[in-house]
Amino acid sequence: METVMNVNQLCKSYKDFSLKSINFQIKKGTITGFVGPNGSGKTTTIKCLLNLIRHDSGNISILGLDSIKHEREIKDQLGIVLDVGYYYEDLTLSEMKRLIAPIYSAWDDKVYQHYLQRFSLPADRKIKDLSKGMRMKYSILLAISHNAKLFIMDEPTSGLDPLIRNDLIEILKDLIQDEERTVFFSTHITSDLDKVADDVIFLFDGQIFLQGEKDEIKNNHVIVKGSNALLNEDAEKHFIGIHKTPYGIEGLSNDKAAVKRLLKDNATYEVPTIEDILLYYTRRRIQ
Amino acid sequence: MKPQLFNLVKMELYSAKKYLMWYFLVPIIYPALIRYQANLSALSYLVCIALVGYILCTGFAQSDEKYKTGIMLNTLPVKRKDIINARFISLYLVYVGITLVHILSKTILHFAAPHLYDAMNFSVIPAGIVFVSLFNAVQIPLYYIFDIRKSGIISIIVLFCLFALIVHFLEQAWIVAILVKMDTIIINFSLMIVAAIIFLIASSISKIIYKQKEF
Repeated sequence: METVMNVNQLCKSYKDFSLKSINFQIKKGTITGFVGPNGSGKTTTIKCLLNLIRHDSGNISILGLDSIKHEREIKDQLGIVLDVGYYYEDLTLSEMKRLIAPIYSAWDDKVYQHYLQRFSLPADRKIKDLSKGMRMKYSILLAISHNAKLFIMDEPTSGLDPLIRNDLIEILKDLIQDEERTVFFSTHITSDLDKVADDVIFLFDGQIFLQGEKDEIKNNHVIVKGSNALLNEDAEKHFIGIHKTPYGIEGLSNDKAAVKRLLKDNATYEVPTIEDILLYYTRRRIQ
Repeated sequence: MKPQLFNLVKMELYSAKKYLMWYFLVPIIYPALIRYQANLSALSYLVCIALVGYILCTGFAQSDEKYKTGIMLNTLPVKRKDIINARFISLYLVYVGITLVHILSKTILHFAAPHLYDAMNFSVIPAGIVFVSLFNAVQIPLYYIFDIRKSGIISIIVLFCLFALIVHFLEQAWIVAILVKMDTIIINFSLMIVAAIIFLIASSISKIIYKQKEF
């Protein structure tokens, strides 16, 4: 499958935080979730991708072009949706559009008008008077209107109520229908990824600890529940993490076959959610 | 002008449209306050330009802070050097507008009440251009190095020192002797060259600083 983004050995250091040799690829026509707790380095990575900050080492190629040498050509084809949406707040949606549209080489006003109606956005309202959900829709609208091939989104759903979040998720699904567009979005709301992501990249403390196809990752892991008596040294070795309570144990394993062989029918087995996987792995790393 | 640059200039001016209207009140009101006095009249244009220059630079900086313009502009397909060029061009365009309004205001006042107001002294305009170039040369690079508060204070200190040095320099007997002998056209031409050099140095420094800037 064609890749639209290739990140190699990306490093960026600050006094109290660093991105440690990040590597990942994004496949064309997919939605990739970039997940991690607050402060794990998602925004720093995205800022490196967009050249808003300079990385210390490594290289980034987007749409087959070097992210530094071909910054302008790349940004012409990117749909960038940041957590807040940075615009001249005192302008109306139409005024802002009139300023932004001529900057893009492939701006399509018919598409803009179509999605403006579809997203029910008020063209004459000032940007500062929009709700957060509307701002996100407006950012997506601008990105769609210049025929962006790759959407890079930083926490687009954070701070939104479940209804609006669901709306946005549907929009993301629609975006990749033609398999020509690709979405890469960071989030700490894992339920969004369960609904929409094809691939997931897990980040914690500036390091990627797990990445791949969402369904494959979920299938390779299992949540095991049972009584405390089930646990022994042999079984514990096969767990990423175990949560013990007086009433029993719950743990995550990435070796389904081994755990089932050891514990047989004495435990119950469930498919983990993205949140389960994130929590168990990050807890293990904190310990 | 390149289309991208033109669009960026449009963005800069459009973003400041709310405040620009007020800036243009200065060259309308200010000449009316200064009655006929040859020295003051020449000075009125420079003070007017300095006043607008300060408010303008501060206004752009505040707008950057408020709207996070750095992030907004740098996510667009534009070159960083064009962002800086657009800022300088926007500032000079406003100065041109302020100068035209000032000339118009002075002319109207002079025709309405010639005993109270003198006509516009055009010979002061090249000095005004040097003045605003120096102003921008100090204010803009400092703003890109420091935040708006620090750069505001530092630029005022630097400008005071700079103008004190210039005045001291111009008071030197040998300089006065040279200036007296020189033709006005040559002085004005020299001032324009000085302004152009200052502009080029300031915009180059600003571009180098902005290229390294992180958002």
